[in-house]
Amino acid sequence: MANRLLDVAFYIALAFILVVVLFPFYWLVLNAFKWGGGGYFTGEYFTYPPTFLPSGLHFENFETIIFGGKFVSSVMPNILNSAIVGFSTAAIVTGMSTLGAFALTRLRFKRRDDVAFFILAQRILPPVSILIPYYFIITGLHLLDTQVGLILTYILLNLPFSVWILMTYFEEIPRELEEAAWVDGCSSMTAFRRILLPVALPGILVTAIFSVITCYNEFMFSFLLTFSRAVTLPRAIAQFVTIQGTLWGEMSAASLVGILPVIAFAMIIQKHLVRVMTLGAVKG
Amino acid sequence: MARSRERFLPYVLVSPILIVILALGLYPFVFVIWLSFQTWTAATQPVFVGLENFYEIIFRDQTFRDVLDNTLVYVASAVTAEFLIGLGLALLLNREFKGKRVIAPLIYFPMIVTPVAVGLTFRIMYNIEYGPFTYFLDLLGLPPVKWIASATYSLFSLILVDIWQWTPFMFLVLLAGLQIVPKECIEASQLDGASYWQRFRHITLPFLRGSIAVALLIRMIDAFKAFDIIYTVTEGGPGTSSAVLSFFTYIVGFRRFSLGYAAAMSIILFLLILIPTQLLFRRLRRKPELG
Repeated sequence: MANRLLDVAFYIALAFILVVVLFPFYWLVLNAFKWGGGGYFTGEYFTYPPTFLPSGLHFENFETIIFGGKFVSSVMPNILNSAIVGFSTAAIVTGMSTLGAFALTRLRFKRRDDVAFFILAQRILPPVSILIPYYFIITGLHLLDTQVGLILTYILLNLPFSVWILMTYFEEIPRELEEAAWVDGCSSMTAFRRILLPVALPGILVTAIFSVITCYNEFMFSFLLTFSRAVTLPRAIAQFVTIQGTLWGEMSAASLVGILPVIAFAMIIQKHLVRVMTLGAVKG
Repeated sequence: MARSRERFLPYVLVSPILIVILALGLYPFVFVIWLSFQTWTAATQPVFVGLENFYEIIFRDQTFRDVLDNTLVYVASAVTAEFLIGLGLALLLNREFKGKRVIAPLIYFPMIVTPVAVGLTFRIMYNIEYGPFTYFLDLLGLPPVKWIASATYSLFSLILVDIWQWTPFMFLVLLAGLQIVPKECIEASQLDGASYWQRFRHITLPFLRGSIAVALLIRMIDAFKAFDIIYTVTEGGPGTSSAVLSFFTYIVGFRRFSLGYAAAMSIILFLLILIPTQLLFRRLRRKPELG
């Protein structure tokens, strides 16, 4: 009897937690499917009490953000920018850090641990402190408002954790196989390519996906370093808040479209989230 | 020949990373240190002023004081609340129940969702005239709260968003930490008739200590860097009532164009983050696999 009661209490607590966690998502989806008539301060958004169910499923907001409307331009170019910047950065960073993490875990050289910590130390820098120099460096290189400018920035932001997470994956793979290959006369590079790489591939993919998510969500640098051609999605979403007012419906539709890929990616690497978010310090 | 190639191999593999970090990380940082000793408004040439920026910030700038207070309140209360709620959730959900495989990922969602989208959604929900929060308070017979429109509540409103987004991180890390508590120890203590509290205090907590340290330190470092949520929910306002250091540095640098002054502020922010980061690094270095 007491156990049954405890079970009921548990599920009530669980339901409460889920409501708190999911309500903002619900509000986002709800606003995306309401319709404000395409103007500022109009439509279903401006009623009291607020409506908790839309009057119908309106797709006008999605049409507006895809094809552009009276007050906003299409966000499709921004999604493309986000994808290009995210995937390029992830490819470059993961490539560099796979080779680096291999050297840092498998090869012997002087001051190896110091090198590893020097790489990690980049995480102390508050991004805002390098924001000012970045503005001048990127401007000086004529890369303001370009995808390349953003990619350069994001490479730095992603490298430290990428190297560290990969090191933890490599350390978990037993060395015996590679040692056997060395004895057979393989060079360490061949042993790396033929033996370590295939086994480590899932970890490498997890790290790459996490880099994509990080770039995709980044706002501060995109906000400062781009203004028209290279604007990424988070910055485009923020532009729905204007001096005239906020386009609630369009903004919610764009946010919803924006977070779907992130959720999909996060589902793929779900079991590894603990590790990637703690620099490998806690293994899931 | 082959042997010398092998000898240089590690350096060849690591050097691209080091070059990127030197060029894109260290060089900008040295630039900021240099800039913090200058007065520069972008339109004029930088003028060397020594420690004047720091003196001004630390001893004269009342706005900086307020912003620093805001930052400390933000970091301390958000991280504490996230830790306590996250620990509670982890202890509560550390058992088998129906639907766990579906429900656990739902709880992770907030922390991976684009912060800008989170911020703007909360901005809508905080609306005093049409927002759901006003309605809920109304249902309970309470007067509306001017969440982000009043200097009294704006910082608190931001902290709530941070708690909503980052409690899942604490939950996730602590739940992972709980898995290393050996089942035998728990069972033995149950046989010995230990109370829940005794079991938590003497068995669970010691095993959890490492995960707790890592989770607290990482959250603390990242809370000091908060920018996206501040920008999207309140823009630091009204006035500077909800501005935190990371956001305020941006305002001083790119709205007021006091670049030297902003650089000095970011050095101060760097020094604040240095302590928790050092502690985190010490933890990471202790990893037995390394070395």
